[in-house]
Amino acid sequence: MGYLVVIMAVLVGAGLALWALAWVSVFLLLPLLYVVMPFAFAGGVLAVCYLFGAAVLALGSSAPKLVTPDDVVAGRELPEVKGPFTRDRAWPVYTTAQSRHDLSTAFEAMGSLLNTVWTYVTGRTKAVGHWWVWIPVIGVVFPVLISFSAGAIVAAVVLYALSWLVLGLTHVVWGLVSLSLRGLDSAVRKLRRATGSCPVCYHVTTLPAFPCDGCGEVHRDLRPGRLGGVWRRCGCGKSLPTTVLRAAHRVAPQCPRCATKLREGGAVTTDIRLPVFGPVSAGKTRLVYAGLVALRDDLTSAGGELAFVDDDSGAVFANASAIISSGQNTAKTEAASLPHALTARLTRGRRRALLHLFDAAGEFYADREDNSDLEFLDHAHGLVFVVDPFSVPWVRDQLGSQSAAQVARANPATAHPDGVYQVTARRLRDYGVDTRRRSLAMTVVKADLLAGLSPGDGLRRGSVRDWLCEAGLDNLVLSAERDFGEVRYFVAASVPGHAAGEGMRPSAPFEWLIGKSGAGDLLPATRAEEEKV
Amino acid sequence: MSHDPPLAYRVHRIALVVLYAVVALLFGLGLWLVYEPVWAQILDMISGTRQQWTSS
Repeated sequence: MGYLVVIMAVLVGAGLALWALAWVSVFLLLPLLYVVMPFAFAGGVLAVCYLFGAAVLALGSSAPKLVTPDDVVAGRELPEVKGPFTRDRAWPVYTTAQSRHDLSTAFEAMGSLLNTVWTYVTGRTKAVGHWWVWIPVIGVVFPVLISFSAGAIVAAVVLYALSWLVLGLTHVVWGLVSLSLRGLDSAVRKLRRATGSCPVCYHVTTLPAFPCDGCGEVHRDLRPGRLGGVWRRCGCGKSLPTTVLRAAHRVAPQCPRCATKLREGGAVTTDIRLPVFGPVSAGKTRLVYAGLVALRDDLTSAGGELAFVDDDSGAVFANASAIISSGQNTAKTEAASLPHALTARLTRGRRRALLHLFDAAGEFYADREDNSDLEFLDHAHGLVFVVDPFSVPWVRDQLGSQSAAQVARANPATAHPDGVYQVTARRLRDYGVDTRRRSLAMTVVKADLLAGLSPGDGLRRGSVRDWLCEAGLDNLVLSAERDFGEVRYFVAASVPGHAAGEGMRPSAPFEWLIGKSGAGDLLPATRAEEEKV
Repeated sequence: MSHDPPLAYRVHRIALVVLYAVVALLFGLGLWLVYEPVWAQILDMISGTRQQWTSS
C-alpha cells in the first residue's frame, strides 16, 4: 500500500513538473524567443555588415593580403604575359587582383565570428560538467545562436554578391575605358605609321619601353590594361600616364631590346628608315650628305624644317654641310663598327616625321657573312642603291687612258655594282624580307664628274635605266625589277652647282622614298609631282 | 619601393563600405517597417504591465 502511495506521488510530481515545463515553454520561452530571435537575426546581419566594412578597410585583426607590385612581377596574382619579360613593376587595378583578397577576407571574417561564438557557447556548457545543462542551452541559447548565424550567413552572401556586382560593373567600365584608350592609341600610331627605331641595335618596335621618371624602373608595356586604365602607379608610387602617345610626352621612350633612348619623337611620329648601300667608295656617304643638305633646302623653301633631335646627328650634319658647300672630299666611312642612324626630324606645318638614314661602310655589303648584322636592312621602308659609274667596266673602256686623271679623281669603287647588289638582295631574302613590298631607288652618283665625257652623254634624268642597260648593267636592272616592288632610277651630282634644274638633285631618291613611306605630304608639292615623272 | 596602395584602392574600399552601410540601413529600416505591428504589440504589453503594477 505504501509503495502505491509513493508511486502515485512520484507520478503526480512528474506530471506537475512536466506541466510546469510545458507552461513555461509555451507561455514564457516561446514568446521570449519570438522576440529575441529576430533581434538575434538582425544582430547577425549588422555584425556581418560591420565585419565586412572592417575587413575591407583593414581595421580588423586579419587585414586582407595586399597585392604589391612585387607580386605582379613574380606572376602570383595576374595571368602571365607572353614573351620573354615579366609584367612591369606596378600596382594592379583594384578589381583585377586586390578585390578578390578583400572580399574573401571579409567572408572569412564572418566564418571566424560564427566559429568564435559557437565555440564559446559549447565550451562554456561543457565546462559546467553536467549533462542536464545542455537542456536549457539547446532549448534557449541554440535557437538564438541559430538565428544569429542565419542572419550572418544571409548577410554575408548578400554582401558578397552585391560587392561582386558593384565591382563587376566597375570592372566593365574600366575595361571599356582601357579598350577605348588602347584602341585609340594604337589607331593614331598606325595612321601616323609611327614606330620606334633604335639608332644603335636597329630594333624596330611599336611598343617602346618607358623608364619611370621617379625611380627609373623600366615599364615595357605602358598600354592601358590590368596595371592601369588611364594612369599606372609605378612600384615606387609615381603615377605614369598609360598609352604610348601620352607617355612619350613625359618620358623619353627606350628601345625594349637594348634600352637605348629612342630619338625624340620616336614611336609617336612617322618613322622612315632608309638604308643606303653600295660598294666601297661608291659615294654612299657623299650622297647621304648632299641629299640631306638638298632636302633641308627643299623643305626650308616650302616653309618646312629639317632639324636634328640628337647631338650626334646634328654634328654629322654640320660636318656634312661644310663638306658639301666647300666641295671637299668625303672621309671614308669607318668599317670597324656598325653605323648609328643619322636621324633628322622633318616638319612641315603640323606634319612631322623622323627620317633615319643608315650608311654602313661598303665592306659590310661585300660579303654575305659580313652583312648579317645589318638588321636595319630588314626594317627599311625603301633602299637606296648607289651605283658608281666609274666602277662600270664599260665606262672605263669608253674613257680609255686619256681620262685616267678624271677616273682617279672619282676614286672609283673597286667592286662591281651587280655583285654587291646580289649579295644584299640575297641577305634580304635569307632573312625573310618581302622585297616585293619594298621600293628601291637605284642612284647613279658622281654624275658631275662624268659630265662632258662621252660615257655620260646618255646619263640624264628619265633615261638612267637605259644608260645602265647600255653600260652592261642590264642584269642588275632586271634583278632589281624582279626583286623589288618598285624600282626608280636616279642620277645624282653631289657637288655644288649641279642643282635641281639639271635633274641631278641628290635629294631626289630620298624624297621619292619618303613619299613611298607615306610622308609625301611633308615634301613640297612640286617635288612630289616631279618624283612621279 | 613604396607599399602604400594607390588612391584608387582607398576609393574602391570606401565605396564598398558605403555600400555595406546602405545595406545595413535598408535592412534596419525594412525590419522596422515589417515588424512594426510586433513592436507595437510589445510596447503595448510593456506599458500595460507597468500600468497594472502602478495601479495595484
